[in-house]
Order: sequence, then structure tokens, then C-alpha cells
Amino acid sequence: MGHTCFFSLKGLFHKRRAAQLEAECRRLQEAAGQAEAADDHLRAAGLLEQVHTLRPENALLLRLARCWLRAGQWQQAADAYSETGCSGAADWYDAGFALAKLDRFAVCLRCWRQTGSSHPAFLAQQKQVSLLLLQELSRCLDEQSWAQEEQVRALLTEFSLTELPGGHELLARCDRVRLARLWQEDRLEEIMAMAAENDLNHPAVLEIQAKAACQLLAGRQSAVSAAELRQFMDCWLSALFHPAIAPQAEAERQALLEFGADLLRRHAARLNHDEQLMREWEELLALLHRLALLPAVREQNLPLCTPALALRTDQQEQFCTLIRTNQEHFADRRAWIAAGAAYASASALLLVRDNACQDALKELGRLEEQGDDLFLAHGAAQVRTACGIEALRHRRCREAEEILVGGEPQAGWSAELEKELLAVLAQENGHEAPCLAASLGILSLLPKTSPPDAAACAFCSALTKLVLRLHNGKQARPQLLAAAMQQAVALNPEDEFARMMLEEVSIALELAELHEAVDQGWLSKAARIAAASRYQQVAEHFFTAAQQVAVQLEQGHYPDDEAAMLILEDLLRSVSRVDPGHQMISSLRRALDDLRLRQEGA
Amino acid sequence: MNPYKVLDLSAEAEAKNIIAAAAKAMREKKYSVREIAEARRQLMNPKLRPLLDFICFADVEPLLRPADPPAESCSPDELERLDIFD
Repeated sequence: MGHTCFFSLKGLFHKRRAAQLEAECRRLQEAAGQAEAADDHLRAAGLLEQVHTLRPENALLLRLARCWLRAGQWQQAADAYSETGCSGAADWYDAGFALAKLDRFAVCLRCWRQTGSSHPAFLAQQKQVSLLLLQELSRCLDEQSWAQEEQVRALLTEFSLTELPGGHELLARCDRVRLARLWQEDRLEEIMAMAAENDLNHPAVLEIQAKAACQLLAGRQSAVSAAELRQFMDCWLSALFHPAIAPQAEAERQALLEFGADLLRRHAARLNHDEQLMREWEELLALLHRLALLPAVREQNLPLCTPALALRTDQQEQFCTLIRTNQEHFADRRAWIAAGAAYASASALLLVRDNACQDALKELGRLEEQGDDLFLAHGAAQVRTACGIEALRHRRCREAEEILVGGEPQAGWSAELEKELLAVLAQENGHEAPCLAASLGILSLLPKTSPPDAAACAFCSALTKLVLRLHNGKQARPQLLAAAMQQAVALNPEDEFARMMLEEVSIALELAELHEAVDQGWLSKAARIAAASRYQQVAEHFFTAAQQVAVQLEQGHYPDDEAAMLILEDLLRSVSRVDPGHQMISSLRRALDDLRLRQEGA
Repeated sequence: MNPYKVLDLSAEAEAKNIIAAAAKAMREKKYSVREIAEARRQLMNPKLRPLLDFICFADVEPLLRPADPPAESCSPDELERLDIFD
């Protein structure tokens, strides 16, 4: 009984207390509402905080957060938003705004991303905060490069800050810091792998890239790809021709160049690329040595680099200007143009080097749009030669002809082109005739010499052999064979066999034309061919054909007398044109007279 | 393989330092005997030494040098709350 009474009293006490609390909360909220209405957000926040202490509720906390924000109490607002969570675009914006005021720009931008807004005023403010973040990241990198690099890079990417002014530079700084770290940690493979992203214009970057590649090649026993070896070539040579990187002592620099050549030779031999890669090395070295001798380079201590590196670092135009304005310091015009072409057409020439001929030709088209330029024209001819050779190597003869002679400027002649073209002429694969036709076009590039040089003699002989084979097998049109033999004899007029073959195919061509004319019933055309021919066989074939026509007339194979008379007159004229004293003439005349008499009688 | 790293030596190391460093590296066994011997051989070779000095050392300080800060933006104090979401 006593207990029951106690509990009822306690219950009553709680009910009264709860009612008092409710009343207090109501009063405080009403007061807060009035304060808000009077724009006294600080007082409103104080009142709401009391309510929240008495009766914690999420909705109340959100209202409190808004009041703190409007009162300019950024930390309290940020804490309240963080505790309650945001429910809409307005809350996300306000939460982000409070964070921006607290210099927490990255978290602000993450909140603002949730608004989904594209309002111009919002976007402008978002950009302002992004710029503030960029400045903060720059300061972080200045203060603690090693520790902050990865985080700075991640934030640059997360908020696309590289699109802002200074953003790209900051990313480049991150790259440099990372490179320094990798170098200190001896992570050479990673340094090699990031070469494509690094700014090799920076001497310290180039130096580390070159030295890492060198160490890697020196220590590696396994095979290295041709691309890695070329990367080494470009970095090593460019570093050793850079006044800020190369050793001052010339003997030491030479020793390092030789050390690089030895490394390259060792690795290239494993790839079975040694000849080509060593040739590339020698050409680049010769080019850089030539440029290093230019007075402008020596006097101003200019850094030099390979064409590939110049292309990557946007220095092509500088090199072209350097070469263009120093023609008198080159051994000859040819060397001068070749040096300029190496830089001016580097983009296309490098694609050729990597066996990407189709891309190289496309790139050539782009370069040629830049206008007429001596260096570009020479480079374009080199690209055409290389691409044409590549097409010949795959026996795409028509395409090769189009590339080599179809463009402007035309390709130049080279020993490699000579070798491939001779191989094409020697092939036996059923495609000899179209390849022969294309080869004749390509041979127009062969420099003419008198007396004929070894190349001209070799091509004369190869053409003759191929024509003989095609002629015997009746595998090609007589016109093509005659054209081929004319070119063969023009290449080497002393070649007896070629001259005989030319006669043979010329007779065959005239006979073919004669038979075609006879088959079409064009006797006068056949007579013109026979009369103009130097060959007895052609006239004989003509008279045989004429005889056959006469026999047909005799046998009455004609529609009527009038038609027979016309044919007979044509036949008589044609035979007289070829041989006015031919025995057929008298019999033809008699037949014609008989026919006339018969017509008059009728 | 960087012989200076293998033997934990600076570019100024002299012959006696190299020998002592090789002995220490043998005891520490961080690298194989072959690697230590090769590093010692390379560093003791007077012809190879200048090349190794060039190849194995680089000054990273220029890479860490602070750059010009990005373009000035407004300060956070100047940010004004937008009422477009209200």
C-alpha cells in the first residue's frame, strides 16, 4: 500500500515535471522564433540550444544550425550540420558555406556538389572556393612537399582544379615532387614509367629521367623494349647536350656518350634491333654535334635536345628557327635541310619510326596544311619514302606508287627503296602484272645517270626477266609489257637482251592492235598499223587477214552487192596502202570490176 | 643497381671507405655477396668512378623549390552567403 502510494506520487511528480519542461521548451522556442523574426539569430541560437539541451531533436538541431549560420557562428553551424545531416540543397549549401568560412575548402566543395545546382551565382562562388583550395594546396606543397604530394594530387583531380588558372602548374609541381621522391627511394622503374607525363623542359626532371634510364639499363639483365631504349636515347643525349646537366669536362661527357652507346648496343642486340637503333643513335648524335658547333649555341650556351624531345616539349619551332638562321654554318645545303626537317617533321617521322605509316601519312597531311616550308617538304619526302617502302614490303604496290609518286612533294630515292623494289620485281606470286605497272611509276624516282649506274642496270635486268616471264605466260597486256621494256632499255640502252625483248614485245603489241582492228572490221586502221610497222611479221599478219576477208566476199558472205562493193573498195585501199605492188591488188580490182558490171546490168 | 646505395656511401667516399663499407654490407646481408662485390669493384675502378658519380647522383632540390602561388582569389572573409537556396 505504502509502495503504491510512493509510486503514484513519483508518477505524479514526473508528469508535472514533464509538463513544466514542455512549457519551458515552448516558451524558449517562441522566444527563439521572435528573435529570428527580429534577425537576432545569435539570441535565437542561444535559446534553441537551451531547448536542444532539454529535449534533443534532429529537426531542432537543423534549425539551430541555420541560426548559427545566420549569426555568423561558422564553427557551431558546421558542427551542428555535421551532427544532424543535411536534408536538401539549401542545407548542403549552408553547411558548405560555413566550412568555406572555416578554410575547409575541400569539404565545402564536397557539400556543394550535393546541391546539384547550376545557378550562375552559385557556380561563380564555387569557382572562388576552388581557387581558395588551389592556393591552400600550393601552400601545403611548399611546406611539406613529400608528405602532401599525393593528397594534393588527389584533390586536384577530385575537383578538376587543373582547369583553373595555376592548377596545371600545381599538378606539374606534384609530378616534380613525386619524381624527387622516387629518385631518392631508388624506384627507377616507376621513374621510367612516368617519363611520358613529366615536364622534360625542366633540367632537373630531364637529368633524373636520363640518369634513372641509364641506371636501369645498366642493371637490367632482361630484355628492354625498343620504346624504352628510344626513351633512353632521347633523355641521355638531350641531358648530355644540356649545359646545366652535362659535365663541364669534355672528356667526361664523351665517356658518358660512349657509355650510353655501349648500353644501347648491348640491349638492342637482344631485341635484334641493333642495326636500326644504333643507326638512330648515330644520326641523333651527329645532329646534336652539328648543332652544338653553331656559334649561336656556343655563345649563348643553349641547351639542345633530340627532335623527339623537342616535339614533346614544344620546342620544335625554336630549333627550326635556330637552324633556318644559321645555314652558312652547315657543311652543305643538304645537311642544313636534313637538320631542319628532323625537327620540323618530327611528329610524322617519329610515327614512321614506330611503323605507324598510316598515322604518319595523316600527320603529314596536317603538317602540310601549315604551308610551304623547305624543311617540311624534305621531311614529307622522307616520310613518303619510308611509308612507300613499307607498302612495298607488304606487296601493296599500287598503294606504294600512290604514296611515293602520287603526293607533293614526291618521295626521294633510297638504297632501301631500291632493295624493296628489286624484291617486288623478282616475286612470283600471281600479282606480278599489277606490281609491274606500279613499279614503272616508282622507277620514275630513280636518279638518271649516264652511263647507267649499278642500280639502273639491276632494274633493267629485273624488268626484262619479269617481262619475259609474263610475256611467255601471256599474263599481262602487251601495252604494259611494251611500256616496261621501253623503260628497261631507257635505263640501260647497252643491254642486248633487253633490246631484243623490247622488239619482241613491241611486235606482240602491234599484232594485238592489228588483230583488234581486224576483229572490229576496221581494215583501214589495221592497214595504218601495218604500214607504220617496222616489223615484217605485222604486214604478213595484215595480208593474211585481208586474204580472209577477200575469200569471204568470194564465197558470197555479204548482205547485198552494194555492201560487197563498199567492203571490196575498203579492202583494195587498205592493201594498196600497205603494199601498192601486192599480188592481191589485181585480183581485188578484177573482182571489183565484175561487181560493177553486174550492178550496171542489173 | 646503384653501387653507392648498395654500400651506403656518398660521392666523396675514398678507397678505405669503400672497403670498410663492403665489409659492413657483407655483415648486414641486405644485398647479395655478388651485388656487394660488383658495387665494390665498380667504385674502386678509377675510370668508371666519374661516370658513376654522374649517373648515381642528382640534386633534387630544384624539384622541391616552391613555385609562384596560383592567382589570388578572394579571401574566405569576402564570401557572401547566397540566398538562391532559401
